[in-house]
Amino acid sequence: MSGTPTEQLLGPLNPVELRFAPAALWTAGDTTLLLRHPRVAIVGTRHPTPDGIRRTQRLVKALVDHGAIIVSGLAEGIDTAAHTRALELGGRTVAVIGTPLDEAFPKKNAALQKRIAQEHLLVTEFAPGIPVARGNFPRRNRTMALVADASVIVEAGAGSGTISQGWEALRLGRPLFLLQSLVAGGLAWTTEMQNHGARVLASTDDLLHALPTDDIRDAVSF
Amino acid sequence: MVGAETAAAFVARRLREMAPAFITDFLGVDVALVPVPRSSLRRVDALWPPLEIANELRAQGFGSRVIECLDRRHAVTKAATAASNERPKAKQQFESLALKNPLDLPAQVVLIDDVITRGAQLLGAAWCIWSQRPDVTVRGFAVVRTISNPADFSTIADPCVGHVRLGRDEECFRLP
Repeated sequence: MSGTPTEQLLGPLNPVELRFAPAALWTAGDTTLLLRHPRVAIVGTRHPTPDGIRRTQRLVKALVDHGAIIVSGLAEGIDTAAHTRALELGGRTVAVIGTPLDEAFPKKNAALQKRIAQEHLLVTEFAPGIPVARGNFPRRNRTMALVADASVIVEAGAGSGTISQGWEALRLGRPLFLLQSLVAGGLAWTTEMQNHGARVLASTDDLLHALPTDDIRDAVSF
Repeated sequence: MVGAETAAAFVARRLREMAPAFITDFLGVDVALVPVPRSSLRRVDALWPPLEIANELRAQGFGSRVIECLDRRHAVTKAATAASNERPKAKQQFESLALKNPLDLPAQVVLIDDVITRGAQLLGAAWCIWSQRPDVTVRGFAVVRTISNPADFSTIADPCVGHVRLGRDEECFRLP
């Protein structure tokens, strides 16, 4: 069983994007979401604080109100909050997972995964039968950075897999935003990411202004 | 990407096709193309749009070679996304940059950038080169120039030559 070539789904990729792009992706659902903009990844810890959940929900609302597609990784915590809020609001969402399509991790998100596959879009770089291993998830985060026009890290500790997504977004030259509350925590990696171009998300307007839209892409022809 | 080619390749190809007369002189065969560092620090394999642009210009026959001789020593605020009063001035740009192998530079250099706002980054980069090679003629090239007043906007493709000058209050001014 073969997946679909990544460039067939996402469009042509530049050499920097191709470096870590999987050759193929397996999908279930509406793949046209991968050609619509803006797509914003909202990611963070599997063990969020109540404030982290509330901030995620507010951010998702602001983005859905502006027609953004919410991308996340279907993990526990911030990811689940992002997908769930997008669904509640009638927005569109894309889940980039670290397992084959027919497996769910965590198992308790199986129903959410099924709904996203049926009504929205589920994406993975892992072919059917590939065992679920810890190393899948940082790879998933790297691919999620490629799928999204921008990434936002809500909450994450020093060892979080989310950090790999942040670095990949910066490598790709895509906007990376860190929530003000996260930066205030004084973690060394947030400072380092800011030195490499990450921006502090003080208001959703900053994020919205950094995003591409289909209108702008259509206009650039001369 | 623009269609099947990168944005940098698209711009370089269109510039070659449009071929305004001044470009042939500006990006002539005796000119080295020097990409301007990003405002932030950069990991080795990260996207560096000015380098992409420089390489694509070279592939279209502009300039003599691409020289990666400028490094960012510490991050500065990105002018294109900052409020006007928060944009770094040319002096801050200069102080955040380092020049490698200055003797490799030929007599004429064109700094390559993606976006020019007021020109402080280009001026800071030129200042960095002149600090060690005052004999080098340095000019700047950017793919996009910002336009503050929408009424001044007439067309997307509008190649032009202009000037960046330093005011008494250390603010840069770009014309046009």
